[in-house]
Amino acid sequence: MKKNKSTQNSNSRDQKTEILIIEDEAAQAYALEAKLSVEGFKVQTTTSGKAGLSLTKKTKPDLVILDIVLPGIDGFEILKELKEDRETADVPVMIISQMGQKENIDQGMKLGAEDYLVKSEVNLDKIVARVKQLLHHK
Amino acid sequence: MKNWINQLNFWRSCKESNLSLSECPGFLFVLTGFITIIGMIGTYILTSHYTAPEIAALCVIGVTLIMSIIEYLVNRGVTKIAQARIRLRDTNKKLVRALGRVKQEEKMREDFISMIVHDLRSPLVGIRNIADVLQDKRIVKDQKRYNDLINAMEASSFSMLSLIKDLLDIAKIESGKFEILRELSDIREIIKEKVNYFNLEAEKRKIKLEKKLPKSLPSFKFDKRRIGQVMDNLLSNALKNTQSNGKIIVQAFVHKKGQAEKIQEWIAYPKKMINLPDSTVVLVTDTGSGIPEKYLERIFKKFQQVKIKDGVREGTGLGLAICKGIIKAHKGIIEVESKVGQGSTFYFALPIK
Repeated sequence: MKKNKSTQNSNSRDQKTEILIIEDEAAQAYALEAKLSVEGFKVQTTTSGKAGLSLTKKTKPDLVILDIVLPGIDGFEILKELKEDRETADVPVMIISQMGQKENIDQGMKLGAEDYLVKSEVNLDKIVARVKQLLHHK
Repeated sequence: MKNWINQLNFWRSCKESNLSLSECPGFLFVLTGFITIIGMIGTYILTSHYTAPEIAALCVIGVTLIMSIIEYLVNRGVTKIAQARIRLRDTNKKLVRALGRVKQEEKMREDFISMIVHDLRSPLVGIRNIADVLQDKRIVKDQKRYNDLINAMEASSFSMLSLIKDLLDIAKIESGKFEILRELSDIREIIKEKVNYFNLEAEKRKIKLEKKLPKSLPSFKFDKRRIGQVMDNLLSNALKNTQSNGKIIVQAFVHKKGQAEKIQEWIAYPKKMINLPDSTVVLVTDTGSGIPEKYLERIFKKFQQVKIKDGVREGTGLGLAICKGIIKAHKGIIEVESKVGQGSTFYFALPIK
């Protein structure tokens, strides 16, 4: 009951919260998109790193969920470019990647990511919880 | 006394470095001393028999002679040392190169394994997440989203399955247990079927996919399914590497042993093929960006991921290695000719038995 209540609360509060997912694995992207949508977020998804970069610059979402291993341009490069650009430096970035080694996480955090989750260690509920936590702290 | 022993040790070390006794600096030193003593005794004896000018002349001749001998010996030693040094340097270079190759192969193997792990785990995590999200009743109500999720799940399992199939093929090829099933077939049928199949995607991407086949090609025994797999690989690669408004041509002809036919303007008849027994040759030419020369020689090796399009990784890098295994099992050859900016031609020749 308690859980339902809090979901409803966030539904109304996050009605206009926009999240951009940059993830090349379609199944993962769709699953996360579906989950976040029913949680009341406005979600946009792209499987290309380049498109993700230009979309972030254009739409300035409230949160970018970023994968690292992407075709063409990798997630770290995207993160670096977003954080170096004054226009997009404030957009919080949450990395969700398969790469779970300490040096990867350190690199991500050093480049300015707000959070770093390792795919095989988290389920969708955990991701949603961290997204909410991050957005509320903002 | 100790010095003498040291000298002897020095000779031993000279011997160990493959220098003869006469090429040892220590020996030359002793020899010079010995000659000087003989010279002094000789001079003492000579002074009682000859006049001074005669002795002087003899001395000059004697010293010149001795100097020449010593110089010759020294030179021989020095040359040998220099040669040994050059050999050592060459061996060193070779070792460094070999080490570099081993390191590079090791790195490629590691990259390959981490790529395979990523490519297997990624769709699996996706499937798990979809299974998770589908338990949410709110999602099931949205028919379109529900269908998208089911389709994505299917696509992910398909991509995992095909990667596993490729890995099994490679494993079989490497262990020499790769078997083909030869049956009498018409290669024209396979080419037609595959061109028709890929034409759908080609049209979508505004690429012209053509076939130029002779009216008839001899039927011979080959593995239909496996040769179809080779065609799938070559055609999907060609499509990946060709921009819209580009062109892909599939050609075939019969090669006669020892004869060279003109294949294409910019392709010389491959030397490897001239002595091949009578074969059917199939060529897939694209007008893509071409492959830089440095990649060409290793393109059929596994672990190779040639980044052709803006550094985008295409496939797993196993396809062409599998093609090579299949063609090799038919005792044929598979090769590529490519020019950057012009395009690539992949071709294979299957001996007609």
